[in-house]
Amino acid sequence: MASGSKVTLKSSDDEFFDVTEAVALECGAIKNMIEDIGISSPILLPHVSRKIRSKVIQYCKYHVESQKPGVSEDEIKSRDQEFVKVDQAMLFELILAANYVNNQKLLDLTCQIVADMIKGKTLEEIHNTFNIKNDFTPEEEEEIRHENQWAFE
Amino acid sequence: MENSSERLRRQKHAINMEELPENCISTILSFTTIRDICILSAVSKLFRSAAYDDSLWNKILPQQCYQILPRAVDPVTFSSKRELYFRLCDSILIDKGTKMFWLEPSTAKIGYMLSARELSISWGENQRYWHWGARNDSRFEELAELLLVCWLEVQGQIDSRLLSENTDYRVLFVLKLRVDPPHYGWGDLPIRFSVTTPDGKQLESRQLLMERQRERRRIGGGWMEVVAGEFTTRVAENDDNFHIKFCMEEVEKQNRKGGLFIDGVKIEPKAT
Repeated sequence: MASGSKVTLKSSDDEFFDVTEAVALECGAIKNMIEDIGISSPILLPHVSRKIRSKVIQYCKYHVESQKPGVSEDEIKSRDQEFVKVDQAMLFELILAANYVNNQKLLDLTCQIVADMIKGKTLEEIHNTFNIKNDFTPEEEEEIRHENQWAFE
Repeated sequence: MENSSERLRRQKHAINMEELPENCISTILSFTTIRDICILSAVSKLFRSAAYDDSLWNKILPQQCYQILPRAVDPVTFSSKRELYFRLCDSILIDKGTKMFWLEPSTAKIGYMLSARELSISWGENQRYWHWGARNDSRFEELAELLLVCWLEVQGQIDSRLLSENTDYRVLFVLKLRVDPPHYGWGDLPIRFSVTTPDGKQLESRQLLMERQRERRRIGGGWMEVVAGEFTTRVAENDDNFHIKFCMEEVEKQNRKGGLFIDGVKIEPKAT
């Protein structure tokens, strides 16, 4: 296939969007679909909204561009850091999307940001900051703390 | 770009961390520390499941572990990679009980201890000078007891490729001065300890064993761990030499000395 070939993506809100094949291939799941059905029909991405799709495509474009010679590691890193300056809800949506389209680099980037947010926090801080419910019974919680005693000391 | 009503709509249905699939939580956890992973197991059932996932602990376990398992004295059984990890943190005897292997829990770094049998002891096979026997407080089946020598020379080495890469290590001689019958000859006698790295560089020190023993007694007694030196493992640069050599000796004054137990030599990752 010609390197400038266009691939059409269709998102959950029925919008069509064209990208170059190189950009589309950045996502493992899309790559698999292209290998199976080719690029003549639109690739359906029902779980990805327009907004998220356009962010993911922006990321894929950056990475195709950064493979050209002359782009430094530092430039890539600082672009990545700018890219993930989003609100928490958007960050989780990006994680879901990266997981869904199987773009490991984007998944690692977004997960690293969340990891930096949770590192070193106490359990109470985690429950409060991320509004996560502790669904253990007191006995279950005691068992887990016991299994991981060394970490709590 | 997103307008304000789109943003409001998105934030109303804003997804919560709990709605992420388990594999995403595992990926997030893989970027935290091992200690964090264990603490975060207690956040919720989703976190526990993600934190106990094999794929996560597979990344944490050093590759060398799989070569070690067949060498274990007692077969290591495990129903998950996490279980394997913590079993190795408890330490296992390998190579017919001549060595001990473990992982440091918070860093997954490899530690080894060589038993006295694994060391080269000058005159070690001479029953007038050295006695080999068992003791309750030994880590191994046999340890060495110095009865009497003038020439004290105990050497050993380890292949640095068995250890964790890019890690700071300390070499420690695990020793005890005998109480009954009493040890003798060690007063004011500096013992030379050294560690030599593959590039030929040598670090040495002279230490008084009675001083080390006194320090140990102050914190409750037991085995002294005398630091022979330190080194840092590097990614293998040339194929020539990867041995770390270490030595404990007194061959200058050569006065008579006796009553020293040697349990072995520990090669331990330095605490960060």
